Amino acid sequence: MISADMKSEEGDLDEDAINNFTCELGVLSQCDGSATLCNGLTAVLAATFGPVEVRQQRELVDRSSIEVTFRGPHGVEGVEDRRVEQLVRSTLEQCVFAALHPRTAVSVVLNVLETDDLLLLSTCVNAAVLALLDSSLSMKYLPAAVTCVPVGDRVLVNPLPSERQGSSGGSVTAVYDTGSERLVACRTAGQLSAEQLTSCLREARRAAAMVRQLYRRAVAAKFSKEPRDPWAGPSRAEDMPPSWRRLGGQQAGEQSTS
Amino acid sequence: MAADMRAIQPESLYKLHLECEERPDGRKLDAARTTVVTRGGITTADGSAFCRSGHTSVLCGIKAEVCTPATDAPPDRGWVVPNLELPALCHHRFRPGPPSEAAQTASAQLLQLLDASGALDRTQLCIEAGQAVWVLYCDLICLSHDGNVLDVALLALSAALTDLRLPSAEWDATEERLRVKPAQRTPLKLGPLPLAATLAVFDKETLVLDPAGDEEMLCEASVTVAWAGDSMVLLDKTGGCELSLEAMDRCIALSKKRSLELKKLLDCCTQSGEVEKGE
Repeated sequence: MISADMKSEEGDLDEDAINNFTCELGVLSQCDGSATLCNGLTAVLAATFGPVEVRQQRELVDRSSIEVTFRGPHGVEGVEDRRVEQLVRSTLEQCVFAALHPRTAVSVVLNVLETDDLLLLSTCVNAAVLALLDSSLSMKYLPAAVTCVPVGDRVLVNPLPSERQGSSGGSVTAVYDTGSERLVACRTAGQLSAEQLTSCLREARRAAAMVRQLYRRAVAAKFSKEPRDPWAGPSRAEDMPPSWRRLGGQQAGEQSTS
Repeated sequence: MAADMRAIQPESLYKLHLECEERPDGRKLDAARTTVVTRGGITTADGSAFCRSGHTSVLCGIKAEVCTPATDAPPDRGWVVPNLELPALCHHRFRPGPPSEAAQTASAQLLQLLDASGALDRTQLCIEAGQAVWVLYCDLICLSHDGNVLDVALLALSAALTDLRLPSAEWDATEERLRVKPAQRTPLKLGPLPLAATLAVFDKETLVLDPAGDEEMLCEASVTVAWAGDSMVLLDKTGGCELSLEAMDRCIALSKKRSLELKKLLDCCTQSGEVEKGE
């Protein structure tokens, strides 16, 4: 588990944008890549499979087809969920080297654990990118999503609900290519003036560079860990489901209570 | 010759057009197609409008129904339910069956636009708090799909809302029932209506307003910007190539100009109630 408290080698960057982030790669053992990302009160678990066999309907002869499945916090699917899927999918279609794996599918599953609605979209994009990083799929660049809220004449980056007092309800979620600093995707909510939008987009571009630091540290943390057998399951007994714990205890030669 | 090239190398042909700054249908890069708005075509609906932009046409009908507000919802607010259908008849790309992802996302976008713009204060849809509120079912059907459906659908929805006349309804507290007088109808008080403009991006920098179907298939990215009066209510760039912020600023300026044109069109259509044309 890494958090923003860890000091980066680059040092002095002001890191307000990722203060509330925590993430961990490789949390699930049965998929090709997985990540959890918490951003304030929003937590998303992402898993990727691929390149895998593709459904004939979706097969593309020149590239891999990318499928995104989003499960909202309430369980009931709605049209809003399709919009989240659409944004994540179209972002990944741009950054993954899909042409390397023609006639296959890359599937990304996003599961929302907790949400405060505003930061959901950017957290989903970042979690999907972290999961793809974990699966080592080749990517052209790393997209980074940031949500900005204008309050008065200031712009807040990834604000917590308590910090957004006094905002008019407008927000901008922008996805940047962290290499070239160009805008990949953008979606606004609520009312904004043209000036507010411009300042939000510029602020988001600055903050996207910090999200890249988070990606870098997440990968560094993953490779600094002791290599673990993915079949071994959770290493600590308290992380195991009760049924596993019993089995594991017997294998380890502990006293059986039955 | 041009027909052969269009079939074999549509992208190269389009690039040639862009070099001459004229599009295949003769428009300049920042010109929209001729747009037509007709209000009140459907007599069985409470409000209706038909919009056509080039070969893209969308029909919108609004049906008002009464319902009891849900217990977890605000008791003094009605509902608006926009639903865009992209049936198989509008384009060969669509197949009959459950609503496609495009139709679902467009419906969600229309609802978001209406809510963000504040055009319709939903407390106006309340008949008696906690007892009866109006639900406006806004059914939009795309009759012909030649690119840029969201802009046309939003224009149709806005025009249909100005055409909407709600029957007067009263809650009889003693008998605990609703009395509706369908003959007495009043229009809603509407704020600034949301109006959208879509731009297609070619060569990472070139912006093309109001893309037709072919252009939509060829373009590298598309940006939709919606305005309600002077405030922006939606900027949506989903997928496609990366853009510089300067290109984004030009998108905002161009879309603002287009939304003012559309507003003018909607205003004269509101006054006369007849067919109006605009560039």
